[in-house]
Amino acid sequence: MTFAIPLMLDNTNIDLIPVSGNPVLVEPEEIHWKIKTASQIERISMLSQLYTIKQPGEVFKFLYNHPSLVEIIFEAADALHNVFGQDATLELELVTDPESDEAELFALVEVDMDPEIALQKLEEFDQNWLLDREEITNGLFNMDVIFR
Amino acid sequence: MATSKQQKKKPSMKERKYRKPPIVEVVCEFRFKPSTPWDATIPGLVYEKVKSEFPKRRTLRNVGMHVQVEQKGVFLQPQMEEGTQFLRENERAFVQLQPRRISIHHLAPYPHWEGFKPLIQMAYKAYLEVVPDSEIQRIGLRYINKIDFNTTKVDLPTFFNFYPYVGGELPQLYTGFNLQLLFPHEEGRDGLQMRLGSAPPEKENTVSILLDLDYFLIQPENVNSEYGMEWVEKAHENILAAFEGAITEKLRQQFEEEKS
Repeated sequence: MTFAIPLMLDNTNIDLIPVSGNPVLVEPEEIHWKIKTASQIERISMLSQLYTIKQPGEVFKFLYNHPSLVEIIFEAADALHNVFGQDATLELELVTDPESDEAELFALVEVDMDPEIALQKLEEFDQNWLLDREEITNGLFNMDVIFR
Repeated sequence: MATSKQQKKKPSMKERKYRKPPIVEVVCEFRFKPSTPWDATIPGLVYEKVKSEFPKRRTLRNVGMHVQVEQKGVFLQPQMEEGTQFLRENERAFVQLQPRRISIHHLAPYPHWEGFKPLIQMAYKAYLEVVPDSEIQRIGLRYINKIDFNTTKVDLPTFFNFYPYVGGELPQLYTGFNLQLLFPHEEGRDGLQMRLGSAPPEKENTVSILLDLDYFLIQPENVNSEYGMEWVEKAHENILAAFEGAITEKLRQQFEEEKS
């Protein structure tokens, strides 16, 4: 077992790599650790940067089996923050109906606002945003609000 | 340890087939140099050529990173990038197109190499027909394996030939780990980033481990776009050897090898 000098890499002309976060400075020889071949699995796990996920294994498995939901859930994070404010916290929770055993994924928005106003906003969100995407979500993705 | 020259002399490895393969995703990605043409009509033209296999079409918005190389280092800046996915009806396989980048993905069940390779060929050929002057910047072939154990503890050396070494003076029980090594291949032309790490388990009282093999082109000047598929074939061969080298017979039994 031998550790050798870093591989010589072509560091120029690299434009986009699939990671998110704030700008960071890395040494040129470290860049090969940062660039990865695109992956749907990795994309799913990146949702944990936007949502708190209490049971990530279950949620990731559900999304793995319903890949069409993934991009909608990314989009939903932006849309929910626009409606409920940037300080709202988001959570993903898988809810299983004990009778039918069918699972549905919920985006839970934790807010600090008048419940009546929050429910009104949720109703509008359902009508204006979620309904437009019903063909893709197929009733497997929903939203609710919880109060601080 | 064998040098890359010795590795080159090895006969090509026969693919072992498993009834319960641990592959959760396999991806082949081609990135092209910024000098390569790109415009908004390209996704539509590529779609026309692949729609028989990938009829569904979807837009995606990714957060990517713009990389700027300067004297004092490399700066990364988040940036939104638009893309398009062309999917099979069952959505287990899809082609993803972003500016100067095409990737072909297959989720489980893995159709073996003879099922996946034609999809790569089809999409890559379609891209080159639409953008014939494409110059390769990077190619990657990646296999992500998820191995589930119905137990709360796993003795890694029993199942893997690639695991973290923890000296006797340290606690022998750990609940999270991530081991990542970069191996040079083909005399430094390619690299294999191999990662073994813990993953969120799907059920209580189980353990899941990810074995991620990301093989990629390091020296693009050595691969012309017309030889892209030859590179992919070699990459597959080297990934196969790495996968089989990383696991023990005990784990192979768990995957249930198909005997011909």
